Amino acid sequence: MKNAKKVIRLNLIFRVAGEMIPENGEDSCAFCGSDTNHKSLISVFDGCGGIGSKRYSNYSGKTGAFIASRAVCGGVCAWFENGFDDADTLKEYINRSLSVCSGFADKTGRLSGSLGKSFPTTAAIIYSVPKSAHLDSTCFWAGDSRCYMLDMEGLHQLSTDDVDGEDAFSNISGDGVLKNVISASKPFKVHAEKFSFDHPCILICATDGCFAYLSSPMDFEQLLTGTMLSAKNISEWKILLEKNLRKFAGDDFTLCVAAYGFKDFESMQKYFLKRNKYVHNNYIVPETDIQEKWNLYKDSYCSYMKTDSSQ
Amino acid sequence: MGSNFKITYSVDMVFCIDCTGSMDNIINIVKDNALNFYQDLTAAMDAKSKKVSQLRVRVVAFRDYQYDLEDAMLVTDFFNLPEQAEDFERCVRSLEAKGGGDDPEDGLEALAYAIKSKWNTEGVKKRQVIVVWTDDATHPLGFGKVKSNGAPNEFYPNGMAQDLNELASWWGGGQYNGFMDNNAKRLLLYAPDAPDWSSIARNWDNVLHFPSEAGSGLTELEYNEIISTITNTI
Repeated sequence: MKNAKKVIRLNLIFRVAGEMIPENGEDSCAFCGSDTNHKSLISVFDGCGGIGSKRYSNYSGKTGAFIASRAVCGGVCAWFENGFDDADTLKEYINRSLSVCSGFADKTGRLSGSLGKSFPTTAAIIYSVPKSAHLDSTCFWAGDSRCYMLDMEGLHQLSTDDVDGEDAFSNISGDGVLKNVISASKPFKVHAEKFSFDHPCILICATDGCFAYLSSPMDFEQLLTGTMLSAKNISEWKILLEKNLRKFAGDDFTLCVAAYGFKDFESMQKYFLKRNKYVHNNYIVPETDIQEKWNLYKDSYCSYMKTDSSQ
Repeated sequence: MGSNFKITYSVDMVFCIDCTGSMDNIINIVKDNALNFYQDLTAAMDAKSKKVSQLRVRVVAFRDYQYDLEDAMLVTDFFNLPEQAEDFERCVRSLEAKGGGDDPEDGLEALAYAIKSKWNTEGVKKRQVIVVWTDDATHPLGFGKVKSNGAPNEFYPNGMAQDLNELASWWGGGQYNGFMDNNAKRLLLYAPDAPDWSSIARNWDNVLHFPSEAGSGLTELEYNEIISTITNTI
């Protein structure tokens, strides 16, 4: 048995979410992990409240954004539960969900114009399958919700924002336009990228309410590891994450987390202790110095981003 | 753990108001809409943690160059709000619905004036919002270059866009910039479903069109949808 390969396992999977207006939040999410084969799905969806602000009387007066995030989430769950893992069928399931939304929607609205879209939502999805000593993960996304991987080297964005901006930092501090978003009325792309990880890591999907109200991506990493290190256990980490995100967020926020390859929560904390101190000492700086620090931080942060292959 | 990023916006709005005789029965509703609109928008932005650090409003009141001559276009500078709120209100309240001649009006010239406003270019996050209230279709651009007797109209502005295509280029879109910030601009049309207005609503970026008589028939739900759309589209 000496030569038996160590199998990478799913350690934890959870979500943290908050709404600005109770019962009217336009985010949605789904997560699912298997105890037997350790496959997992984490996903978040952010209904676009501006371009999807039309309210539908036969959907209890909810907005197109509210309905879209939930409908597309349902489609993604069905895609996962039916055993699919590819981008083509994912887009088919998403389109089917949107068709159902449109089919039942009342057509009474008088507002028109290029600014509105029917049932618009972002999506960030990570599907993971352990393969002996490494983890195969595929990210799918559309819009400005993000897929991340967090490891000893720091936070790495796996998705590329569909925003007309310079980079991940300027996209949160600037005013770039969303270039691509899922909707029932306009063509859209679902980007797909495959990754293979051979070390312990935490996979994260997040809507922009989680990261866009913090000063920088460095602050987001610090929030993730800082809350983890302050917690006594996983439940407390969730509580601290929710509390800290709520403190900063100016929008609905939803975060889905899946961790692979750690022995237990304590070993996860030990794994991130050094990195947390390093980021705190080197990258958490006054607002005037953030751009300079971002320039140093971004090589590692962007190191997993690839040229996209889109659907 | 983490530090807060304060999002502040500078918001410029231009209100293009049809002041021809046919607006007589609804001009007061439009005035109320104009006076409430900026307050409702800033309140909605505030509720979304989008703090408005600078707010300016400008008025373009329009009629018909061929019929109304020197009274065809009233254009103000930007009012800084809330400091000049009383001046702004006095200006809006003083508008009179009169003149206009035939049914179509010179709404496209008013839109051209609005697009060429001296927009605030400071700060990262901006909103540049044009709102048009009218109950009529538009003349083609340049219709008012001549008076009704065929003589040149000295009151028609020089340098006006020649046609709808040129006006579209002033608006900008896609890869090319016009006179407005492509990310910041929004156009809200309370205008009939007439050819030029409908074409603009379909083909220009960032346009919302409420096809009805200006200022009338808008439900609270629809009004909230408009405010929400403008507030939340980043």
